[in-house]
Amino acid sequence: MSTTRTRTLTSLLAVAALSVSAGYGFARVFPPSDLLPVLAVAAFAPLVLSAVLSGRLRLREGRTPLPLWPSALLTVVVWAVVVSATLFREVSGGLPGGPALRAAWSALLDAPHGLLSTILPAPGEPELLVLPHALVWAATAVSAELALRTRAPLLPALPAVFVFGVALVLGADGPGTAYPAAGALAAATALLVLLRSRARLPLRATALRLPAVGALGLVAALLGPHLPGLGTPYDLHETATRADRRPQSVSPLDLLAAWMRNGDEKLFTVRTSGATPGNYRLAVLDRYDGTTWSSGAGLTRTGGRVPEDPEERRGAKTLQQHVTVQSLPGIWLPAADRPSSVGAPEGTSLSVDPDSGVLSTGAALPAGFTYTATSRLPSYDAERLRYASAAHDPARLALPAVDAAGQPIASVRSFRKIAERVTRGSTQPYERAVRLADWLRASYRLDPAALPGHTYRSLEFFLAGGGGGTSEQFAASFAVLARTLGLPTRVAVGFGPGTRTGSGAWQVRGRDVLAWPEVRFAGVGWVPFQPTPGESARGASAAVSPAKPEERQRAKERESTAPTRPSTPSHTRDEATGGASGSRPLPVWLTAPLALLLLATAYVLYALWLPYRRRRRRRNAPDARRRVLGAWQQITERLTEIGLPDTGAHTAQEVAAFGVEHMGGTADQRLPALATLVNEVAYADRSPDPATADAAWADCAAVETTVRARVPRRTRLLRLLKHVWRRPSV
Amino acid sequence: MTQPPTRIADTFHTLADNIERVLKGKRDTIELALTCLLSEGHLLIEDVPGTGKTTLARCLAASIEAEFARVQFTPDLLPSDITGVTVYRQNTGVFEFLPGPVFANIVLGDEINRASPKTQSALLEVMEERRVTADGTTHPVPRPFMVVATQNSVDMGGTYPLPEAQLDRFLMRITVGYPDHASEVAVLKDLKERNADPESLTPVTTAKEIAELIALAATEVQVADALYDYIVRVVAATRALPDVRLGASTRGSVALLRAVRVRAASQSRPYAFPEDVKALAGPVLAHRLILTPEAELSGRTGTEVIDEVLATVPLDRGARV
Repeated sequence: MSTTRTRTLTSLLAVAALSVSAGYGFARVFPPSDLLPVLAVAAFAPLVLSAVLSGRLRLREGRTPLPLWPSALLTVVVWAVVVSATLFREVSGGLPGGPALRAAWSALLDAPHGLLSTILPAPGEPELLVLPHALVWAATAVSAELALRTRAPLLPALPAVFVFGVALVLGADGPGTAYPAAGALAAATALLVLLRSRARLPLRATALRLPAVGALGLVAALLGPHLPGLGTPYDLHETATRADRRPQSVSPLDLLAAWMRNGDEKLFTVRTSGATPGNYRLAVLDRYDGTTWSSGAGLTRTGGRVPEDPEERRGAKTLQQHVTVQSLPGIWLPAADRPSSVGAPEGTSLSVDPDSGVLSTGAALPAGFTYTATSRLPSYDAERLRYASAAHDPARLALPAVDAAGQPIASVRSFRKIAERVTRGSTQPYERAVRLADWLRASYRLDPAALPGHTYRSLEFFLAGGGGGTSEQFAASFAVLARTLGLPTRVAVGFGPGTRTGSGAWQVRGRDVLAWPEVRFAGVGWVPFQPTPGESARGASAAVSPAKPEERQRAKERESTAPTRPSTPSHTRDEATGGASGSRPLPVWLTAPLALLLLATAYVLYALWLPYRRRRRRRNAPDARRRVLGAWQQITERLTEIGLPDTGAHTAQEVAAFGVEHMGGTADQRLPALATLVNEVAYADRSPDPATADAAWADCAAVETTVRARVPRRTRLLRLLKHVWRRPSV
Repeated sequence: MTQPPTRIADTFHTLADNIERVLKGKRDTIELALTCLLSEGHLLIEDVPGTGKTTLARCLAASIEAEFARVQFTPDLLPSDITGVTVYRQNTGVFEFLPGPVFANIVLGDEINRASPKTQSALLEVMEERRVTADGTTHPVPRPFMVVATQNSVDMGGTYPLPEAQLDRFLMRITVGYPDHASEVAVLKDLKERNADPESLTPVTTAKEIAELIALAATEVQVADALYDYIVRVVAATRALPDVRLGASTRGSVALLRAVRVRAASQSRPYAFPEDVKALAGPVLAHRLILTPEAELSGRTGTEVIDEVLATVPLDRGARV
């Protein structure tokens, strides 16, 4: 087999590696177990097809390859057949047909938006997997044809780079990292160039530069995420219009009384492992219209991952839950605190509210439905909580202040008076919330038979001492009172841990239902409180630990010995605390100057390095002729610093005359002779010996020394900075 | 055997020394005229009266053992007075061509701008193609062939400016200028010794040798690709200047190259370099430019334009590292 054909065919191996590497960039978009089979087909099938149809396998060296159009046509046809028989085999029984092709085409068009509106990793469904399949297939086909039909060493890598770029954009929000795929892509590209390049790579230069390139890549990889503006990649998911589904379901808070009345009803069982189970959160209600607390959740499809709340700090304790539903109305799935992942049987459409982390299937839960959830329980820093300011969250502060007729609602004013009276003397938001919870717990009694309702009037009646209430009234009262104080509050509905039925198994019944308020603090996130009497005594939930009596006592003691800090407006404190937590991006006013500073530093470094590199390249030119000319160019450039016009229009003799006139010393003899040598080398093909080139560089060094002595360092530096992008014209 | 550039240089300087015996203090002008001669081009000498224009031409002719003819251009001069005329011989019954003064190695056209345009045009064919066509018959002129024309740059009344086509046929346009003080004193002293007469010069070479040297210069001097490139860029730059209505033609590039080769050879150099181009671009190209009326009104000259071009067109980047 001839060398050229061997090179062409072996470069197909590099193309395969490129396609797999680029396709593996989708590992942040899909679970690898779903992705790899797709890549195996899409990266190799078109390769074989192109190799066969190009005629390179059978034609002799020097013959032109077969035309491109049959290869292009068959590539498309075979893709349609393959995708019908694999991903969409269920549509038309494994055979290619109209319905399967229509489904594949429709899925291909919808897949980008589907992926952008799904919390990654996306489920490995054919409707979504068709996108990497098509992209990798097309990239492989184009790369293979370029490798077979052109001699360009790098061109066949471009389609793979494009696919990798698409994968990067789509997977910006995904778990894991793209570094392995990027590294593999770089290695495959290097292999491709190595196999296809006709130029002999100088061993020494390669040996020196490869580690340098590797080190630069490492530095970029390590520093890149910490550079201003680069830490968080641009995420198209944030701009895509998500197909949010607003929950159409009865508010769980409205069901609370019913569940309590039927306390023995078995709702679900949980088999846990890991940390001790606490409360299970079912739904989060953050909107109040004066009558009902409802959920503002926007449910987004997920492949199993639940995005983290960037403000919240999770502890090391992880709780695995295997839940079996027995009788749980509604669409919500209970899980401990904010889960980090969820798994459900195949075919279940799982959704999550990225804001609150509550889970849903979007449909009523059938009896016997099982799913798993993993939660990392939060840990709160009491010291941080003590001085935390209330978060800036106007939506969670809203209380309707006028009625339907436009008349002011008097209840709001009375709620505010109560809240201010109860929290009088406390300066910190957390302490105010604690006092509210303490006051409610101490002032009112729990009555499981109390009438349901959490309207303004119900809460007024409850707070006026008109009998006890359930956790519904306690949580709702706390939330309304806290909002009048400027604390962003929401109401969570869920269940206690239930009754232990065996090793790691818990039965949750109706009587375990519970509502509790949560307050959002800047830099801390949502913190639950227990204003309901008796509920905190259960002590089962780590989530409510900050409000435990003993901790509150410790906090009070610390406050009494610590200097009182002024209560500052929440907005300012929000930003300050958020910045200190390190979890928020740098503010724009800081990012822009930092970026400019970084650019300026890079500019200065480049300006300083450029002349050094240019001189080194000239001095180390491969032959004496180029070294002589390089020395002359170096001299000419230096002379421009002392007044030689930088036009490039001066002949060697003119330059020498200028040097003699302006420098004196040994230049009188050296420069004219060197100018003659330069003319002979440049225009008479004279080949100087290495000693002559060395002598020329010695003259150059003498000129440089003289110029350096004459031109102030500041002037030289300014000149370097000014002319950094200008190619030397002299 | 002497190396070709050295042989050219020897003859070149012998001729220059000989002419300088009469035309004192004008070495540069003499060398330009000789460069034009060895480039087989035509020379236009333009200056004020009394600076030695005609003397230079006569000295040139006197220094070479060659046929020399002089034509005093006047308004009533006819084309046939220059190229020749066909007459009918009654005794033989045939038409016979009587060659005009143009059939010489060196033709001095004195005060060329005083002849009518029709007469001036009679020189167009012979200057470019070195032949005369009369009554359908072509008559070649002897080689080497050089027209040395003079014209007065003042006292323009009753003159006819040379058309662009004819100007373009002159390889160089030079000026003589006033001599410096010492040279002018020497001129006065020589009057007493009768050394100021061009006729006192003895030929130092022959037309045959000049023809050989012309051929040698065209073939034996090395011109690098970078220099071809530079010449073309210089000429092209004259076409892109706002002050220039019509830039130099390709004939200008060719003329510059021929002159550059001769200059290199005259310095015993077997190769040409950019200094040659810079030294000759003014005399070779300036008279080929037609400036815009605005530029002319503001006093711009072709020589200034060429100087500007030479100061801005960079040397070939192929020689860079």
